[in-house]
Amino acid sequence: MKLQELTIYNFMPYKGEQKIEFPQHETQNVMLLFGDNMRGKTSFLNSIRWGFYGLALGRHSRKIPRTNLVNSIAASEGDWSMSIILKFTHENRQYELRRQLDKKNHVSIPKNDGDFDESIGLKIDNQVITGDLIVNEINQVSPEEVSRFFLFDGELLQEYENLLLEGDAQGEKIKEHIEQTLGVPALVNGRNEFTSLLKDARRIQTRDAKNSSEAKMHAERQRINETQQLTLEKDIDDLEILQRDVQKQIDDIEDQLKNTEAVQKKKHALDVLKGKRETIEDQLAYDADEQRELFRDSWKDVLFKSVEPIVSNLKTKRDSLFNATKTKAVLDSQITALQKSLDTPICPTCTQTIPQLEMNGIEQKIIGLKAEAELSNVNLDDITTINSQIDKLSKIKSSNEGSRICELVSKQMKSNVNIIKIETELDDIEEEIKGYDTDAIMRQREKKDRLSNQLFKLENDIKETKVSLNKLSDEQAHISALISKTSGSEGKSSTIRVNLYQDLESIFKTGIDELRDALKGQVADYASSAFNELTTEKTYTGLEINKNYGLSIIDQTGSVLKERSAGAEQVVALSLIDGLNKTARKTGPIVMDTPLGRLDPKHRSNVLKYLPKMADQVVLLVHEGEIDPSRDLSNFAERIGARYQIERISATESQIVRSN
Amino acid sequence: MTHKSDPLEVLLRLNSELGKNLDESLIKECYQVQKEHQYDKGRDTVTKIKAIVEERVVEQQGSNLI
Repeated sequence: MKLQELTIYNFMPYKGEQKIEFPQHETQNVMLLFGDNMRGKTSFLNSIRWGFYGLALGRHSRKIPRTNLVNSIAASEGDWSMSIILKFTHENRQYELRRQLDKKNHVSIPKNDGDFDESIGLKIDNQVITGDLIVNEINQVSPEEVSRFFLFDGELLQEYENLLLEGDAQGEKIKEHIEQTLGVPALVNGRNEFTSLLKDARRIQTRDAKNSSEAKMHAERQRINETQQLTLEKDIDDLEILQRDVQKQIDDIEDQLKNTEAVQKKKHALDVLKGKRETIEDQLAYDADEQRELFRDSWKDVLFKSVEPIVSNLKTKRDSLFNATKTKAVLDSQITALQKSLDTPICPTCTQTIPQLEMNGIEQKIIGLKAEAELSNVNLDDITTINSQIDKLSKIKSSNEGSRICELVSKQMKSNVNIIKIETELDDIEEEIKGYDTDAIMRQREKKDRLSNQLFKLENDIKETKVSLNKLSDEQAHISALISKTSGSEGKSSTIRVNLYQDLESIFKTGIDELRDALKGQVADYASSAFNELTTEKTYTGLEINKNYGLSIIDQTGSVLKERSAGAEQVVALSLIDGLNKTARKTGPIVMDTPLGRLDPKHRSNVLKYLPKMADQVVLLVHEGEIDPSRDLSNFAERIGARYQIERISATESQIVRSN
Repeated sequence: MTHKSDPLEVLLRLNSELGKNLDESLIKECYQVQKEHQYDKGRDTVTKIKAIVEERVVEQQGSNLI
């Protein structure tokens, strides 16, 4: 099967008509659809699923109600119609499949699925197909059971890890899907029908045996056995109904808890923001105290600028007075020494009388020195006054109060802006989580635990009842064999019938196990080969499959790798999908939603190189965090046949535009 | 690939391995009915299977009488 064109009308976020053409080239077989989260990638996947099977799946693989499938804006404008047209080819035949949903005429605003009419039309090579044949034709091309492996959500790849857990309910569900996909249903359906027909045949045989004296006793045993089997079958039916109900309750609670998980995260964010606000407010109060203290002394900072030059001048003046005092002392000492020579004109060294001419010179020098000394005469009170002025003015000191106040004001303004921002965020979060009760969340958790225990018990009860039923069934087969051997029963049509059904049931039953083993081997071979190309760890030798189709990584020593990373899990899951897809069907497209979420760049590069080889057509629904158009496209640029982008029109409306 | 996974081949092989010795055409016919309708939701294969088996019942009973 090869997809050609998809026409979406009013489906989920896609209002009006949108047309997407799929790449048809043999090697340029990859289509990329980029879209941010919540823009409609999963809805695109669902549009294909709904087109084929009339089914759109939400979380927990639950059916999305029809009212949610119709674009909400179109619905608010009164247009409740929605349709998907898929054009595709299969075995050289041209298919056009149209599925449409319309509001019933008498309904004004649809409230539930019953308020809609769903119609389906199919043309094969322009020949109109009608009625039930349409579904049969679709099943011939692409059975719904196979869809899990060509229309899949990459974010759910981790579900495949459950296949490694013995007895895990989710793993069992996946295993069941895998076996349906692998073509085992022909044998499983055959076995089930032979079991049921064998029962009827034995009933007839028992009825016949009642008329034979030899077989009468066996017939009575058979009758009791049948009654016991009916009782156990009814018990199993009741237990399974209860099991489904409990599982549904668990799923509902998980959904609610998933929602409240977001609330709890928001509550945490709220507390963090409140803490931040408190810290900022404390800092603001501390800064305000500091600012008050700075204001108290800020006059000094203002005066300091005027006082500082005055003090400096006074100090200079005082220094010059000190210098003058020193100069005068030196001059006075010189005058005294010279005056002594005048008073006693004898040389102290040679004791000769100093001549008059020299004496006149000394006299003149003394007059000059005295004049100089007079000029250096200082009033000591002046120094005292200046010192006192300096002391007083020096008390006016600056600690840069002005600039520090400026800094604090600016800091305060920033803090106030931050507080406003935080309070806006707080208001938003409080509005979002308004009405949630955290105690109720705790109660829900406890209820889920209780239900999980109940589910476990139910599963055990079902298992035990089935064991008892099997014993009765074996006993029934034994009694039937005894009846067949009685002379009156041999050759009778009822005995021939029982023998034929018995043999057919046995062959089909054993065939299921053998076929499963063979298919499992095929899946493991394909998956290992894919894994070897996808993994970046080249020492791994491959994958090993268990009875549930769970895959384990085998290391270079041949041992199973016990712990594996989230990225490795995703690579293993992709390998399994590839193995199943290749085993289950020969050709067909693969549509993957968010397939690269948990991969590192090297694995991403390997996966991107490998994906084009996984199918004839590969449609990747990705966001730019997974495939960076500027960096990752080079890994498989030559394989890209079409590129589309989901553009946001509003919160509830998107449109798909071609970008190459 | 070394794995044999053709369902009909498996059934025919088991017929002799399990010593059932059913007529191969009976197995082929039953398998064909199941294969054609294996993914049909509203299949009514029981009636078809019943008809095939009843034919063999009559045949066997007839040959027993002869």
